[in-house]
Amino acid sequence: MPVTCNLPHKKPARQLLAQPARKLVLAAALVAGVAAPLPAQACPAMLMGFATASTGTITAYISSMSMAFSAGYIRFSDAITRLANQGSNNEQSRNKSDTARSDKENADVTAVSVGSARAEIAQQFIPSKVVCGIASSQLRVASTTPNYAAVRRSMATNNTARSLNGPGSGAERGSLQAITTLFTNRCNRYMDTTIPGMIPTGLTCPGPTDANFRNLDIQPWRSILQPLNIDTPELKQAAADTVIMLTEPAPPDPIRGPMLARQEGQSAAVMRLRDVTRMNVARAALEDIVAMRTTAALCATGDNSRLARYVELITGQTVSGNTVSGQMSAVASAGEPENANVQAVAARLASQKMMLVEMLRLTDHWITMEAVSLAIKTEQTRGGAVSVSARPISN
Amino acid sequence: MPRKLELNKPHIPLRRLVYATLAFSISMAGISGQAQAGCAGPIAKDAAATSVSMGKSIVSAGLLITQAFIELNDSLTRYANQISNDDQNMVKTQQSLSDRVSVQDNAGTVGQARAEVAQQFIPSKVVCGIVSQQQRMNATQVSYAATRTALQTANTSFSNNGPGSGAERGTLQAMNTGFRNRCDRYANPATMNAPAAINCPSPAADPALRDLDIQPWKALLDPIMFSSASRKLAAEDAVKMLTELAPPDPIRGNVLLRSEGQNLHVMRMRDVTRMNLARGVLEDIVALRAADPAVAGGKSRLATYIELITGQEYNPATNSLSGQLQVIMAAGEQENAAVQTISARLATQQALIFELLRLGEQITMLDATALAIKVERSRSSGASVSARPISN
Repeated sequence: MPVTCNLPHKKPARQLLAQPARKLVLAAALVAGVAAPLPAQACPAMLMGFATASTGTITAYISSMSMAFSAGYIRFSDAITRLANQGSNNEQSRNKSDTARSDKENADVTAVSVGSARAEIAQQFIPSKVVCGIASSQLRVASTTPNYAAVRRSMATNNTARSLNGPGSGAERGSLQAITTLFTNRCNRYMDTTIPGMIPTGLTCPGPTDANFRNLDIQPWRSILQPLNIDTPELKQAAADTVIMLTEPAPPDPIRGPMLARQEGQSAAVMRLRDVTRMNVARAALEDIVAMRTTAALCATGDNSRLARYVELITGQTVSGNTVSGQMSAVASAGEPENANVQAVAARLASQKMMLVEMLRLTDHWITMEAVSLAIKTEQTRGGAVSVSARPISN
Repeated sequence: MPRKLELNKPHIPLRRLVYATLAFSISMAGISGQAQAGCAGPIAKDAAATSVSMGKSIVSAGLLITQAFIELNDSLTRYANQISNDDQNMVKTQQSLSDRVSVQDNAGTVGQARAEVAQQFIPSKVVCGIVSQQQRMNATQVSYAATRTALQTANTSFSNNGPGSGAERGTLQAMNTGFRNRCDRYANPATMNAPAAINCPSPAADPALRDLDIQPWKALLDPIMFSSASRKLAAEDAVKMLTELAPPDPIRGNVLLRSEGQNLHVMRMRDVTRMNLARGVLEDIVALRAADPAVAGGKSRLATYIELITGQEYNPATNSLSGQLQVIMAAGEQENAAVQTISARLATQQALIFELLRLGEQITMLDATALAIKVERSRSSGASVSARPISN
């Protein structure tokens, strides 16, 4: 609301001095009346002289007073003018201040609006610890792929060489050598020497120094399925030996050399390779399970197998050896805002897809094995034609 | 509101000026009366004196007026200054008011943001419940693994004719042990009709144990948690019935000095390995249902899984679930809590998928081993190792 001032800009002196000035004017009129010429009947000349002198004196005084009065009015008028100017200046200053204040208020309103919008949006962009954890775990699972594939490939190569009586496989000369190799290995690594009468005098069969390795090669649950991390050379060897025990401890004798020059030998070689192929299907399924649990050969301390990384991904916890510990990601998510939790749901769905892919992979294994089993059954239940190995040579 | 100028309060003594003027007029009237009396000398003298006196009065009044104007000017100046001061103060007040409004707006905005965010962090009862159950389920891991390991060790020893296994001397002893155990634990007089001489009492303490070892669904699969040690033992005996009731005679001692013996040992170990794989699957099912012996009132891993899925509580005595379902509790919670619940449930689903993955691996191993056996048996050439002439 504008501030108004009742100060009049016109005739300020008259208003200011309304009452006293009127009285002054009346008094001046009275003076003028009595200062009129004296009566002529009493010493007229002298009286007139005195009167004239008195009048002159009074007039001079009055003039002097009028001048003072005028000067006062002038100064008063100046003061009123200055007051009016000051009022104008004040108004202008206030208008300027109002303008500046309006600008400031606008700036404040803008700042508050922007700040409010930022505050509302900020929570949408708060990094989610849970999502970061899940994403990190997903990356860690993915990073195990090279080692996982390498272990699987290495086992497949070694076991195929063994089935083919390859050099250095321990089965170069056939079944008997393979079994002798296995027996020696058992004696050195897994034999349970605590059973009374088990080891005869004269047989060098020390058994394992670590009691946990007794009969470990014949317990697939302990050596393969149970561990989250197969992280020592001895445990890796035990898992590999268990695979051999489950599948093909003693490959047949080799088919090689001059016998391949004949039809019988060639047929036997082909059928042998068919058997190795089928055995490889069965063995690879087990090798894959071992590879899932095997840590990198030269891994840094704290590295984990692919399976252990999966456990970390699911739980949000940390796997060390076969121990799972730490805060579950579900606990961490309880302290996060909604957007972070929606992100966590999306990340968990991605993890589920990864696990479903693993299930799909396993299903592939089953189907392959079932198909091979069916092929074997079909071969065995054929209605006609003798088996190849029994056929007359040179068809 | 207009501000009024207070001119009614006399800062200038005008009243005195008026009085002086009146006195001057009255004295001039007196002079006139005396002149009419016709006494020129005194009159002139008096007139002069009066004129002087009046002049002085006028000068005095003029001075007073001048002084009054000066004071009036001062008042006006002060008044103007006061107006300026008032205006400045008002502007300052308005500015500080504006600042205060801004501060208040900021505080309101921050408070509103905090209030909006605060509800995002209200703990969810459902999520707390799910997480607690997840942790309880995790806690069963130790007991679960220990039970499985103990079963594997005992059964491997049994297959290897180990000391204290009841099969130290081979198949016949194992069969005798099996029969004795049946008599003591599961014999059903109604169907067995055992002669008195062989002392084959029925399990009088718990009639439900009769023939329980030969009913794998009842002994193994039905229970969420074994309600007693006898029930757990029945499940273990059912596993034995399903897999290897009587292991072969032992291969040990001097036979191992010869190649035949070593061959037999290795092939025997192959068979034990394969049997252990098959048996391990069943042992795992037993371990999943075994109560945690280390904890008072400890539940089986399977029971905690069911509690995790339903949010209810499993009662081992009645083999039933009770309590409020989590989905009912979730209906009373706010949006962020509901999203957290979905996240926690997804974590549970992942755990379940992982269990399926584990089972898938078991199936894979069983299938793989079965295939390996088939391949061995269907080989087109090569006699069996154990049947081969020694010394290739």
